[in-house]
Amino acid sequence: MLLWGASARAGLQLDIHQIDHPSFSARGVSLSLESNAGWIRFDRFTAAGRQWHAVQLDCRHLRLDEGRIQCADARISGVPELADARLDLDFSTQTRSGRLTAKFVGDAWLTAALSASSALDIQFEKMPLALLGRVWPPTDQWKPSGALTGRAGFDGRQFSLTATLVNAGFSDVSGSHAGEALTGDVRLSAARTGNAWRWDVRAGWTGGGVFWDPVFVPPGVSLEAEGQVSDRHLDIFSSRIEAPGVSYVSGKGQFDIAGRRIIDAEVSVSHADLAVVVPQFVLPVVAPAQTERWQVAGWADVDVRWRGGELQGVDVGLDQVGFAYLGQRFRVGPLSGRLPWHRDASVEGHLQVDGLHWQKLDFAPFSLDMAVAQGNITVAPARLPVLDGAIIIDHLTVVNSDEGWQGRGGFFMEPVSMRALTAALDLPEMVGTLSASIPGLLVTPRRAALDGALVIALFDGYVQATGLEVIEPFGLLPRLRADVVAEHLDMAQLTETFSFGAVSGFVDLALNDLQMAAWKPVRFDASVRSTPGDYPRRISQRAVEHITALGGPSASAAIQRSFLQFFNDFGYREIGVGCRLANGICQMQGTEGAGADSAPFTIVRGGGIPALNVIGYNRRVNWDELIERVKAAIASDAAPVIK
Amino acid sequence: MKPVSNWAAVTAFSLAIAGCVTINIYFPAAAAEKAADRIIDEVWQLKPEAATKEGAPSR
Amino acid sequence: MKSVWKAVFVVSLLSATLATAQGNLEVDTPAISAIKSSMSQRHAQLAPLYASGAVGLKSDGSLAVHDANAVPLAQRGKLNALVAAENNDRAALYREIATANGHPEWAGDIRNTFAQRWIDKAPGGWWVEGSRGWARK
Repeated sequence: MLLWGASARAGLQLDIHQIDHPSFSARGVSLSLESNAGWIRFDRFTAAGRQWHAVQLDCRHLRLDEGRIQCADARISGVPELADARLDLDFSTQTRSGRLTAKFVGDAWLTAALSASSALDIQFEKMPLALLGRVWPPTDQWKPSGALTGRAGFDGRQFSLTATLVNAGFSDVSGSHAGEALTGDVRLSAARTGNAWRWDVRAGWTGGGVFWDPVFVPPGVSLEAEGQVSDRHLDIFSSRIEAPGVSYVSGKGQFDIAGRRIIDAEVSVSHADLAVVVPQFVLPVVAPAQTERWQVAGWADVDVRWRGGELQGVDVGLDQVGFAYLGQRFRVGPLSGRLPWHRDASVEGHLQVDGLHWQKLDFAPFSLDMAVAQGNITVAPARLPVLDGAIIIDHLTVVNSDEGWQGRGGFFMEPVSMRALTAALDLPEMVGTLSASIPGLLVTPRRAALDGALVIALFDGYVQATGLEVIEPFGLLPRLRADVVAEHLDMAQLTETFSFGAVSGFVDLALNDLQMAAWKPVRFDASVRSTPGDYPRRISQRAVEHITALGGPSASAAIQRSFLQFFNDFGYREIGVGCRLANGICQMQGTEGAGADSAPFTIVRGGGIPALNVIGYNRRVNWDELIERVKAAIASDAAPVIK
Repeated sequence: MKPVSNWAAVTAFSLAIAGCVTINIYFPAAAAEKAADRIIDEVWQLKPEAATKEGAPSR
Repeated sequence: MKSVWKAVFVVSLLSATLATAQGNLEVDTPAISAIKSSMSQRHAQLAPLYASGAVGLKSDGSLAVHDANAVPLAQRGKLNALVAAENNDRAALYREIATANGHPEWAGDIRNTFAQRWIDKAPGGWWVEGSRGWARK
């Protein structure tokens, strides 16, 4: 509706009360024309949900001709968005149609054409995104840059947009959310049907990158989707996203707009390349400090379903998946199978593990069947073959609680021959068997504890470890704690295995509160004593030399100089040595037990002919040095001895 | 390993006894600073010789 | 028993006994060595980031991203991972030194000592956090 009021003075002055149009409205419109030039003023101008006050268009050329307003080469004030633009306006008040062109610095321009049927058609080229900050101030802090070219149309029922983004960027102050050199295009069309809009979108992101702390998203993403939007709901009838690292992601569903929640939805990720997706999107979010420690390969398919606002089920399919932690210390794969989860029911999962390697131990292929329920996974009994034996999982349950996940179970071992185990671990060959019975296993991310015993039948006796515990099993330096006892170890076999001369007889060993880090002991309380009983007890000269060599070269020289060198072996009554290790220092004791630091202690008490006592004088020994000397003694024994 | 004379051993030994009597209850700030400097030099490789293997018996 | 001969058995280690005598802190445990070597390896990657100002030394003995803009966009994820991993190691280092010396409650003091020494020893041009916020040394 147009209300005209005119008052003529010098030139022409028009006052128009208001102009209303489906796309805009203006209040308090006045126009002044003097010779060729003039101005048009709006007290209030409303369009696209925004309002401007005291808007004035100063036209270098203004013409009024039979209801047609032509304003050329104009500047506008009161609209900061168009502050430096040069405008041309051509509007017919009779047909209520016209065209507005704005030219900006550079080559950027925009044309809005309004047809007699109220259809609005906007074309724009190289429009700087920096203008966005003027139109919508909150975006200014993101320092938008780049240019947008395209076309938008709206006729009251249909809306369409095609646009191309070139060399765009944005960044927050810290640079932790930023995009650079972005190029892409979007095609959007929407049509009103009743109270809702049917829409259809295709978008492609072809260049540049976005870093959104902590994830970097590379280009090469395309999206196709169609759906419907109303006041309350957003429906996606179908959508398909293609992106680097996945074959495609498809999804459909309904969303509650006000509540910002999913009502029903199905999302499928097809053939995700884990080597790309995990380091790029999963690890930076889940475990940023460990991003470099994991290597992952293989493919996964993931299906996720929501029903009635609740997550209903997840189905993960794994294909030829492998992962390694901390270099090669722990490797799993290739591994294939299916891991489902359902909100209300227990469902069956299956994994086929074709490789499992820990340190230098290789497991043969095995399969695991499991029942997955809300918050817990129960693994069916399984047999994991290793070397010439196997680890039998009797029961195993993984529970996800408030304190993180936790595994509980029980297992035992089919005996593994020590010959195979020592070969696999690069240890001197030993004869015997290793077996275990662990009824209570508890694993948490910070700790693994074994309630039960690990038994090694070895050297005619046995070694038994109890109270086994691994602290920080997944950390940089897993630490092991255990109590070890051994009984009736045959010294003849033991010394032969470790090339430490020859000693006959048997010993018992107690290794209490053993703590190891990186397979090196850091603390223990050890004692070795001759097994009580009646059996031959001889110790060879080389063994004595090695024991004394542990005291340093000066000590071993003493025996070489004396006439002791003429005997091959000596009798002994008792061997007894103890070492309490703490802070790298071994506090030693002999057959007499603990004593003052200054008191000598007997390691080997002589007996028979000829007899020999080995006496230690320094009870405080640096552990690393002691180990070096033991290694040197063993190495010297391996070499031929010339007398 | 370097041979150590009995005389040196006895000297070291008596020092060890003296050390056993002193018990630190308070945080040893000076020692911590020394330890920190050593580790920082090693991690930042500020002095190449400091980064060589520790634990030589004579220092 | 006719004759009993003694072989002299002397183990004497100057360094070990002296270390105890002077009240030095124990910093040679396997755990500390493992952390140190992990940090030394990482330092090769961190050094240019300190120099460019991308990463700075905080006053609490940890690292922080100071200016992500100094790093190309595609590398910023890696920057975060490096800082997180280094802070993990540093926290473990302070904790391990305290436990190695039998006083787990010293971890905080050790962290503070380290915080000061990292900053004192940092070369010129690196960003450090002082009482008045970030500053360039």
